[in-house]
Amino acid sequence: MNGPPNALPPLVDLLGTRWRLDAPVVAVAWARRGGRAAFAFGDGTVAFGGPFVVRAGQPPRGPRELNRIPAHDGACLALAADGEGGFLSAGDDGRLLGIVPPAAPVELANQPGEWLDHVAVGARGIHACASGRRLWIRGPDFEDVLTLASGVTALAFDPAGRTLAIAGHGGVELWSAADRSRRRLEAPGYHRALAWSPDGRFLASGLQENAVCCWRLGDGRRFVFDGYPGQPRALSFAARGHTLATSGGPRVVAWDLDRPRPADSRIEFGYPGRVPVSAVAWHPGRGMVAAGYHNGAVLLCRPGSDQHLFVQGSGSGPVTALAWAADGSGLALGTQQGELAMVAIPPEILSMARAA
Amino acid sequence: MSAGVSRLPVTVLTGFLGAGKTTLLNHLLRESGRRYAVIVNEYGEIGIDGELVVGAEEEVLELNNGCICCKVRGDLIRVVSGLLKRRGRFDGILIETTGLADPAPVVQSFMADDEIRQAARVDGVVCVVDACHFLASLARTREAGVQLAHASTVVINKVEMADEATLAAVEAEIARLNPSATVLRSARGAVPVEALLDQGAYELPRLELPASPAPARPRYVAVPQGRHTDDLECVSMVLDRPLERSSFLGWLQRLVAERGEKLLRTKGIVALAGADRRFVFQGVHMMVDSDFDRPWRSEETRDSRLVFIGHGLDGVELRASLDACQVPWP
Repeated sequence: MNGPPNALPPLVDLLGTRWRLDAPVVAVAWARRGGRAAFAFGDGTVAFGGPFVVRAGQPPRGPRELNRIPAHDGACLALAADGEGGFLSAGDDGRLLGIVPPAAPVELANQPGEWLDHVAVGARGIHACASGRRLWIRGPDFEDVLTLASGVTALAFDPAGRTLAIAGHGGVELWSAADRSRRRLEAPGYHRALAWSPDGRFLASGLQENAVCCWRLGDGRRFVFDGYPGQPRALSFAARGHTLATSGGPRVVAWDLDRPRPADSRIEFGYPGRVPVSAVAWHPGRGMVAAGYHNGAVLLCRPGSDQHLFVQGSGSGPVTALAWAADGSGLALGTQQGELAMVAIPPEILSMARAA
Repeated sequence: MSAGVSRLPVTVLTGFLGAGKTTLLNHLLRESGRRYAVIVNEYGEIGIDGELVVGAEEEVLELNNGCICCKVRGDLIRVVSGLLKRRGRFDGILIETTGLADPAPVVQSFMADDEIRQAARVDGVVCVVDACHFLASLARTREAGVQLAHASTVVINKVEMADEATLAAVEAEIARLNPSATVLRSARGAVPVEALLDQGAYELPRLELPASPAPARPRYVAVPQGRHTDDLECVSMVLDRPLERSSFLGWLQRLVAERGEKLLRTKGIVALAGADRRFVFQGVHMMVDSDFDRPWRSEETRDSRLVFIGHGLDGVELRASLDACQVPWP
């Protein structure tokens, strides 16, 4: 899957920078401003790269330097951008750290003996982190400790940052920042991944049982999309409309929730690999998806087209982290074998894609 | 699975409280010369000597895939996923289960999760039993039989406390209920570690079944007072004539679909008509893994050997329905 012969070299060679560390990349996140990306690793390191180098008359390039800091005594398990241009990182040492480079990390919480494996950041200084069945939600003037019916498997704030979705066995709970109340969305199965549509009207969850469950929150309607060969653990909504792209198959699988019968709207696109798609990230402004595969390949593709552009060829282990900068100007990616890259994606490349 | 990355071996330790699981675990940690991550559900009798010991609160979850026996352990999926991020710091994982735990959800967690299945494999399920109390536990509790059924190795511990007649009775009962398990005797958890490691108990190419299994007719067993009526038994069968492919595969599919809940373990090496390779299968409840294995060797008898361990199996009926899958005599 190295791309057709005589094709354009992978974009990472033209517009990006690659690094390699000796530990798996666990997560990647872009700062909400400032053009910097953070990568969290299985050896407790958090590394920072960016912003892109822009020179007049030349295409943008990836940053040269990667700044590494030893953050956790053990493994990083989760990472999220905070509201301030920094990051929160959670680890199996029970510590939740606030990191605003170049300053040293600040310990926000310490739960000795707990593995903090999920973290999410909402609006107005609220953040949440989970360990097993326990969930801590902290705001500027409160701290709630919740005990869930089953272990927490994913956390995601809605785009407004006021509603927290908490995935587990048998459904998803919604915690509201307005009155700190909870309500439960029941759905059979083991829910293990979450994504909100950018307008907050839809919530999708990826199921252990090779299916995707989706709620339309306005009227509570629930859709189930099945027929996956593997587990759809990566979910991403298009910037406009309500199309959901997922991993779990040999190509990107997408569903259009605006159709009268969303379950009949399945489309597949991207390179049909012999290995499954392991990561998907929809461009924040255009109708284009970055797809990462189990063999390390990353490509740009779009629904309804057989064309694709290689960002990176295969050969570096499953893609475990993939994220677009908020303005869509670049892509950050990481693999299980510790390969990571930041690639500038200029508008000329994106003009391939129609506006979504 | 990416090339060149071998899957981490996982050894599961089961057995009742007091049988000596922790002692055996510490023995493994000391003697194996390997670095292990240890996952425990109860901080039991004594401390564990490992450097990386993780406590997990047992969480058995039913999967919503139309099979009520498809259960996974949410706590294990979570902890193993976390451990995989530290890859390179240890050579294997040891899981010590609680005294009454059913091993099936543990094993099924490693079969039913894509990420974990690609990175780790259950190498063996070791059941530690107390020589003096095992037969009584087996008669009194369903859990003891279930743990025995899933074992790839049974360690009869505290042999120094039992007489030879008791040990012989224990071994006979183990052979009756789980004839393909390796049986070891031990005093104070001391067994040769190489006998417990690198078993590949769930790898089809390494499947071995005894050549002359117990007779398939249900034997009369004296039932002690209070024994469950849903009696655990093992049905072993040998068929001399090759099996017709589509009817056998249909038979196997129906069997696990209809009786998956009661079928704890299934294993088989099968001669299919017209196939020059052995067809092998093994399963836990409804999750069955099957494949064509190596070619039959010229000196081998091309017969089919199957073993089913479960509750309330009708051996006579199983045998009759399977007989019907054989190709007719030439």
